[in-house]
Amino acid sequence: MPPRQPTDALRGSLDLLVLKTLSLTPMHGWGISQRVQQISNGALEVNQGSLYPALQRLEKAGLITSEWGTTDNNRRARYYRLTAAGRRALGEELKDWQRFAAALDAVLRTT
Amino acid sequence: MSWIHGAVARLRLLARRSAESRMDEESRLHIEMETDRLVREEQLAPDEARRRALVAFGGVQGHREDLRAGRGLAWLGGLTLDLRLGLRMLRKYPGLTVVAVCGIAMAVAIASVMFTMVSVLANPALPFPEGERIVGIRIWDRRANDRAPSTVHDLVAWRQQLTSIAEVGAFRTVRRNVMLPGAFPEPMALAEMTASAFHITRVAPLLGRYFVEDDERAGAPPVVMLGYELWRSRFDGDPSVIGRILRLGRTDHTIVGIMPRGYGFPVSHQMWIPLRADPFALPRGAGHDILVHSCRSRSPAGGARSGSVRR
Repeated sequence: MPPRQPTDALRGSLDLLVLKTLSLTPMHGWGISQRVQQISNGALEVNQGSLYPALQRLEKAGLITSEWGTTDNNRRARYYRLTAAGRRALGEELKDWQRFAAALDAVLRTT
Repeated sequence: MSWIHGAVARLRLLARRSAESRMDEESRLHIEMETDRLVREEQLAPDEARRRALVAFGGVQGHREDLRAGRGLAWLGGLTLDLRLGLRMLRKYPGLTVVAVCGIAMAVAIASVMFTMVSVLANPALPFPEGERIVGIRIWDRRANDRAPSTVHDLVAWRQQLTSIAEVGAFRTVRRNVMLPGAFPEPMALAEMTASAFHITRVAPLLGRYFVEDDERAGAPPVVMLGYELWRSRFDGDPSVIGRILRLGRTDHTIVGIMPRGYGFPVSHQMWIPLRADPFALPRGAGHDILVHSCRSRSPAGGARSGSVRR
């Protein structure tokens, strides 16, 4: 596959990506952006300018919590973790997304 | 004073500061991690890596504005600035602050006193149902410029002749030695009051009955009524006191009723005995001075108050 410019994660899907990433393990902001990039094989890039506001928004909504922790190389970092409400929201958002993707797919397949 | 202002201003800023310092720390970490990654994975020189990381992160200040707007606190910047400026001015000129605060306090005090006085004067009312219709009647001696005594004869005459008044009551304060159970006799102020005065206030007795006109007749069995506070303090609120004998002076009185809490008509009285208003027992103009105090005018107070009778 020829290298392509990574796509910005769509605004609506950023929350979903963050929640999904945090559902695997608690992580700090930079880790989230790296993880998304890795899992998508570099196809998706989390816009760093919208990542932190999104984290704050999700925390305010009670879907994630955060606390100070230390990274592997001994740096102080804010670690975000999913709350129970966040886990529920993730399930719903996933379903929504799948419905949306299926619908889009159906439309695009029409010949 | 100034430390209060300082504390308030600091408290307001504290919430914002902690959020922003966290923001600063997070972005610094992000840039450091990204720099490390670029050095490690792309073998860039640390300076170049840092530059690239900063570019990727975008203007730090810009993020801060975004986050602030996200918290809905953008307006706070302007407001706290105004507040801080105001407080700083107050602190800078303490003399002016003291004068201004005292001036405002005085003005508020004067205004509230004035308002209270005016509202009482403009709309006097006793704390009874339709209390504004209860008025007093006095005979004014214009030569002496003083109140002239009114007697039982006046009361009877007013009762018969005043058409604008529904009921006329009268009282006078007398002192009697009261022999309460378990205590030495002590002189107490009693209201010698007509039965009609109780009708005027329209307050029902808590227990028993209040006076009827028969009690006012000469030779009727002597009765007494007690106020709630006296009943509670001297009789432990015992409901069986109704019908009991209470010795006032040299006469035994039967307790016939208890008035409810707070009732102290006309002037903080706690014991009432009937006023024997028998004009035939006395020659005209003779007898004790009574205060015809409690009348219910048929119209609101204004009408009855402005009327005067010369004699």
